[in-house]
Amino acid sequence: VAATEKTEQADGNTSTPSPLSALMSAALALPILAIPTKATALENAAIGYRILEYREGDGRMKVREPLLWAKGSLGQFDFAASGMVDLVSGASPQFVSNERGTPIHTLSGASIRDRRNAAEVKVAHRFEGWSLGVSRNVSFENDYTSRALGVEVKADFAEKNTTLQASFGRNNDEISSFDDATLHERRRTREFLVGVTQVIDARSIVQSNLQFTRGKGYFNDPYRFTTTFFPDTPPITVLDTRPGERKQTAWLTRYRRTLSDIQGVLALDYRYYTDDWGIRSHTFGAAYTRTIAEGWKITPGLRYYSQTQADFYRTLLPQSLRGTRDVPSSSDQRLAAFGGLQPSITVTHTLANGATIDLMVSSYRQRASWKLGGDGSDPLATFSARSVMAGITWPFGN
Amino acid sequence: MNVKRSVVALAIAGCALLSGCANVKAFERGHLSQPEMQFDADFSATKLSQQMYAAKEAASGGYTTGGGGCGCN
Repeated sequence: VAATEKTEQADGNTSTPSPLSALMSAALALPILAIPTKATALENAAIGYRILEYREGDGRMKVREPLLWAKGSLGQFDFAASGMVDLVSGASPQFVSNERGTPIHTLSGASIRDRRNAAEVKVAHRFEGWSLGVSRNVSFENDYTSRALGVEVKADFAEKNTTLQASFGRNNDEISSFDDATLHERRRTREFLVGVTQVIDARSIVQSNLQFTRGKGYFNDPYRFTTTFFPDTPPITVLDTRPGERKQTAWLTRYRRTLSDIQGVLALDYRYYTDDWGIRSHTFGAAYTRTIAEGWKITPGLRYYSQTQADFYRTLLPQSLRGTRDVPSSSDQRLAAFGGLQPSITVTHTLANGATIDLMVSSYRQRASWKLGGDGSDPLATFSARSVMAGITWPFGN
Repeated sequence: MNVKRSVVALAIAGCALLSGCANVKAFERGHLSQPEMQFDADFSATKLSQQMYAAKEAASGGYTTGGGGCGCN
């Protein structure tokens, strides 16, 4: 439904740095010059290309994301770099109103186009039994810029049966808006992660990570608003308004086990998430990789996601919000209570030289009634999307 | 309080894990070296998938730090 004539167009060619510029920007922030330049054999090196084609149902967003990456080891240094482009087009839910009775999403029209260029560089130095790594991420859109730094320490124990990890990340984001030329806001985020990876036996391994994220600044969606009509009084319109702070905790545990008798690998993931906006979430993932022929593997997978709604999520505004500006209120469906299911299937082919080609097809659906325990938010337009992801990895060096 | 509870739970789970694990020698790790046994062996697939979820779900995190943000709608 396109109930607005407003058109947002951003071809991204005027002020968004190119992926190469983004990559250089990321690389220059790291001490790459510290890598010894004397002749050292390149080991475990590979380059790869991956592309994601993502399409939402009901004529909503279409996304194409090509990504080029490289990694390798030089002496005691490990490095990795990637550059990607995010091409977005289509219509995005912009406001919710009850003009026709029950609250419904209204899309922004079919003319939104946006482009994001992003790059990442990682460098790590291996010492005896431990390693220290630093990373730099940059992301440029016409109305959003993000710069992030990461520091990671890993230490091996018990003949490398146990690996402990601690990392810190700092994100500095700048937000502007096509709708409001005066909007220039910032958000600062700090992330802390501790984790352990443990070999259980010769066929199974488990990893458990605990991450704390603390963000301060502008969390609003500057393009989104809510309008509620009343029978006897004028309607109320409130811009998307969220708290200026967010504290998030995520606990991710992943398990892998080889089932050698049938040449298969089982992968099980679970993540518990909670934040001070009132959202709690459970994510379950299961995948099973099986060799079906020489050089060919197939991986069916299923992901289930469930979340409760944010304390300030509402699709109908109460009269008490009339005239207010700073009371948190959002009708963003991503803050609603719902469940999501994503079945997928991946086929991987390994060539004689070790190069691999893979193709993943998946379908993602969200329903209010699929929330864990039921009782989701009042259903707005149900969400569905299909995606195809293809990649090639080409190893080289020693 | 959630942070304290999470740390305690992780510590308990970690101790339980470590105490029940065998000491696997390097030459016994043939199965463990398979690509599918690695966490985030293909970081490009993880990166694109997590970005897709971050644009459609409220929860995130647990994988890495310093990954940066986006204005994904």
